[in-house]
Amino acid sequence: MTPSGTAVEAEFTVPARFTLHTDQNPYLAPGTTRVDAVVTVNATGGGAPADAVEIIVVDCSGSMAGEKIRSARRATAAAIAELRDGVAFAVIAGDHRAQQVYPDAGTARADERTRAEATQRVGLLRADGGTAIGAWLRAARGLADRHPDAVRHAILLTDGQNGEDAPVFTRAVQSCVGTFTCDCRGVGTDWRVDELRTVSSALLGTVDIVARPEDLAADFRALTGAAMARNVPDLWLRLWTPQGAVVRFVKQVAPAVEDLTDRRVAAGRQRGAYPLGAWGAESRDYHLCVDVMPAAVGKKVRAARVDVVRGDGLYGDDALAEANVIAEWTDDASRSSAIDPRVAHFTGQVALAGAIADGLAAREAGDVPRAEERLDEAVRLAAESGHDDTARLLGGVVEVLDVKTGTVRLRPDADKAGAMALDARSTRTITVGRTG
Amino acid sequence: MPACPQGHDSADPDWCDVCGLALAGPSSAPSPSPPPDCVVCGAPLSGRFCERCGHDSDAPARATWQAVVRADPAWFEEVRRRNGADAAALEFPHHAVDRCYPLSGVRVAIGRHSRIRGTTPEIDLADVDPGVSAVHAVLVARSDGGWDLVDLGSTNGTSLAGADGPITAHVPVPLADGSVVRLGAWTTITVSVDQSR
Repeated sequence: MTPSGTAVEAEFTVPARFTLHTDQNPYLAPGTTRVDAVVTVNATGGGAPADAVEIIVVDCSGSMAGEKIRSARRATAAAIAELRDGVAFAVIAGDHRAQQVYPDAGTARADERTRAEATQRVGLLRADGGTAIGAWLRAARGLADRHPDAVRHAILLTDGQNGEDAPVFTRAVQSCVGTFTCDCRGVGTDWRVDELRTVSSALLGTVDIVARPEDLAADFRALTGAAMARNVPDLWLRLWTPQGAVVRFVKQVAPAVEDLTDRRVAAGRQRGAYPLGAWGAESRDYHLCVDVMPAAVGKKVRAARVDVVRGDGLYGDDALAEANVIAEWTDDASRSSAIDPRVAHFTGQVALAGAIADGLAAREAGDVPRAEERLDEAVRLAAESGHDDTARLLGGVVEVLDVKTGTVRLRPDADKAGAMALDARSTRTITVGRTG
Repeated sequence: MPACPQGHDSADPDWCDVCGLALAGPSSAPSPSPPPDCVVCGAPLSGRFCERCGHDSDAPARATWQAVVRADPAWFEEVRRRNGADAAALEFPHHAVDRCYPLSGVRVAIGRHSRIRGTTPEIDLADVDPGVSAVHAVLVARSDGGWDLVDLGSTNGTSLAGADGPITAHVPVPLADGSVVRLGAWTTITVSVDQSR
């Protein structure tokens, strides 16, 4: 990574600066109550690098034997090489239980020696045993708990289905919520996208397929780099709403769709907070939908005050940045009927993700008409929004017979990896610039 | 104190902390009551200034007074008659124009600007009348809105038109609307309610 030196340190002394921006049409027709807004949370500057913990969990079940385990060893070594000096790290080998590979217990601080020792141990990983993802996560949690104030991140690699009972697995995932973020990677085509999505979604990470084992090293390197670039360990989106208002939903809509509505934690009078996880110099978008109490034409209310706070300031009044969502009633239909372009765009992106999820589920269940109907809609939405990556992946699962009417037919010979990639990446969105 | 029209307490001055109502700005302002009639001429008002008489409806309701300073030939004749030789050398300023001072605050000093004495009276007669002292007199606002006149021990004294001799120094004399104060060689100051407002 970057060599240590005064020049680099000077760059890091700039404090992280957060900005919030609201895109919405505040005008409501008389009697209506629904307010939609897209709030963009952006951080620039960087700030001082935070204390970080990196935990790498490698599936060492029997099915990993051969090329997969060799690629996993190389990828883990690449991630270790990427670690900044001083970052705490550990490697866990997973089979029917979790075995710590390096260090012997707890975490090690990255330096020349520990990186070399860890790389050597990783080279000895053997594929043998079962798959117990819940047990692996619990082990990672035990390590993360030793560093409560750090940016805590894990990479989980697997190639197969979880062997644990569903309740055991679910409880394990839930016990890890809020303790570390976890990016999940599936190698091959025998793992289940929904299982890993359960983990990545709850632990505020990403899920993806690495179809070719040789691509694993580059992916691990990128994940490790991105995790260490984050320096705000625990950021929350906080929402104040007026008395009598109902929060319909809060969804992250970029870079990927993630429904946060049910993760609300009370944060004082008329306030709720939603966890965003660790944050670096980055930008994410959130779609809020609030029902307010109706008011007379000409009245103007704050439908929501949105701010971002650190986890230790959930109940305080100091926010890193804040923005307002406004509702104003008018009898001018030309104003109240307009839809904000960014709200419209992300509504379309969420619909696209939903159409893909439904279509693939129907395809799995053998419901061809339903699958074709929903994927047909997905093809249209992807084309309309210019989502080329998704359009290409859709093309691997369905054959587009008529672009104009959007009629599609399922490909009987569809590549399994392609369908899994479409599933895993269905929630990724593209963003649009602001027009106004 | 509840700042929100709905009666909620709000620490935030812009948006009610409870119901979110905008507390400032045009759309949230209570609808204005029907405009009143002009207090001066009775014409219906459509804005701040009366379309008929020009009265400023935002001006303070309290009557505003003014002091009009002029060179009065009649008073000059009387001064000449009283003082004879002393006043004989004085040349009456035939081309002097009236000067109007709106009265505001609680004290309006009458005198001559003097750098040496450090006096800067509001009604400065330094270049207007040679018979006025640097610290001559003062108009003092009364609690009922009117004004009192106090002579501050001036050399040539201060008198009121229609009265016999000069007023006693340092004793306030109430002025009526239209009172004429006489001082110096030819200056009269007419103190009256300003009818133009």
